[in-house]
Amino acid sequence: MSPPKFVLLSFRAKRGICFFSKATRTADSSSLSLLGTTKVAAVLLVLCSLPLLRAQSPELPAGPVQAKLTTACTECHESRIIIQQRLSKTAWTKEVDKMIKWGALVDPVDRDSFIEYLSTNFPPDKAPEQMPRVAANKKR
Amino acid sequence: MISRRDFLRGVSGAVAAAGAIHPLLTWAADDSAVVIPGEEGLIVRSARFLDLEMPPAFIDSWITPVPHFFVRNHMHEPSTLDAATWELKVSGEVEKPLTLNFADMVRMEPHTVTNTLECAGNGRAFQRPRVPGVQWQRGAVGTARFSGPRLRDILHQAGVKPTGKHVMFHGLDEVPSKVPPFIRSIPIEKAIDEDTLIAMRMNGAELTRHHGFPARALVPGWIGAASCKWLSEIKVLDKEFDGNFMKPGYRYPNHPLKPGDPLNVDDSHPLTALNVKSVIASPTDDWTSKSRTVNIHGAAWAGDADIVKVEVSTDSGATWQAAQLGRDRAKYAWRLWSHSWKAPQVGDYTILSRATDSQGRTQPETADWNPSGYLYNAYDQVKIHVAT
Repeated sequence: MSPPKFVLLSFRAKRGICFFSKATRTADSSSLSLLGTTKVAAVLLVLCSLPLLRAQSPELPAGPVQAKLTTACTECHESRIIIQQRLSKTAWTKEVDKMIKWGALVDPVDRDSFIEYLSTNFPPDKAPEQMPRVAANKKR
Repeated sequence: MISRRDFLRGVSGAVAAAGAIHPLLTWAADDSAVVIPGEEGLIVRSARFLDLEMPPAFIDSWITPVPHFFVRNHMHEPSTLDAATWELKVSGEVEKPLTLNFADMVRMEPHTVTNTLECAGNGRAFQRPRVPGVQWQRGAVGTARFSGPRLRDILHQAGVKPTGKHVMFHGLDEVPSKVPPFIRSIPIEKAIDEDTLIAMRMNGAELTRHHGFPARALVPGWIGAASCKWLSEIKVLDKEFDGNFMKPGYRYPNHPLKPGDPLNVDDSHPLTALNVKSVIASPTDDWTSKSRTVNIHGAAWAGDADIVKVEVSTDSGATWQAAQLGRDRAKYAWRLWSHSWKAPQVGDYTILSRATDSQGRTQPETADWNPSGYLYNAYDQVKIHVAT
């Protein structure tokens, strides 16, 4: 038996993401025509789009740098990584500087505003964020 | 007084009621649920990178089903994984560098290890003062049967030179921007341990993509980060790998820190084996019991040590009773435990659990604080209300 191949289709919406993985066999996948692959992708996209609406990453709270911060941070990771943190201003400063070192595109004039925004909106004494669950797998 | 038969019947009933039906009903009806095929009911800490936590109530079997097994990704998963073209390179301080393909790996003699895998940051959310990172509570842990060739058999084929002291793992994760790649190493002594594997199967099936298909390291008893996923390179080094995820990442202070103090990386060591720890699977926090009899159960593990005792307190730690340990056991696997308790009266109660291992370690009331919240292992605690 030939080894399996995973075909990953990842659809990213503006603030959402949906994952599909389809285990196939290389012998099968090689026989898929481009048209067939496109049809499969289209069907998956349609099937995905409804749950996708419910799977969007939460929007960051309103604020003067909300748009800039969303652009800079969600290039690499989704907003849930941010909104689950409960940190002091000192800790947020370290995080922002680490992310700039790791390639986050932050205009130097915005650095302090980012730290202010994050430490105001996600301070240590704020109640924990309620995170969603993965939906039931209908195939099981 | 409850008979043993009634106790066992009660435990199994409680497992069905509290451990399965309740959480299933709760999350299945949740409109905000996120669709991730292959995974079920896990708490979404992050969908990109994928970080999924098992709700503690899912700890109702010794082996964790793959759809309930926590997922911890540091980077983006590889966008393409094709076993037909996948290769594992073995290089560095070896006599004969190797390139192994999927078929080569499948031909090697497999070995199976039942291992409790836990993220080093499991419980980070309970650290005070709070620390940054994925805010795992109790469920970045699970137990599975991992199978594949022993790492030492692969290293034997390559022939480790006397200068080979550490073994580095590198996977196919896709690294965004200038983020350092997720590369870690383990000492050669652990690498050649008979239970250290290059796992290709999990619970009898091929690894799923989220768990590292087609092959991952499996370093039993050690923090999950040691068990690199989507493995593509094994390199034997003459010293510990010095990248970000070895230093300053995944390090523990040599001496206890005052909460809030920074880590001095020169006075720290890389994390290796897991701590002694127990968690309460049921009842869950804020549970209202409609019966005076409450069946308390959970799991306890200790990395490469054995669990010898789990104790439960129902009076906020004033007194402790021994829990009954489950029958299933393996060297690196958790023990399930249970304890039946009859509340003396209607009211609010705090239930605690603590485990003791074969090295004489007992879970502390307060975990040692460290700036990344690693190895959190304070008593587990749930508050419940007994209503009738």
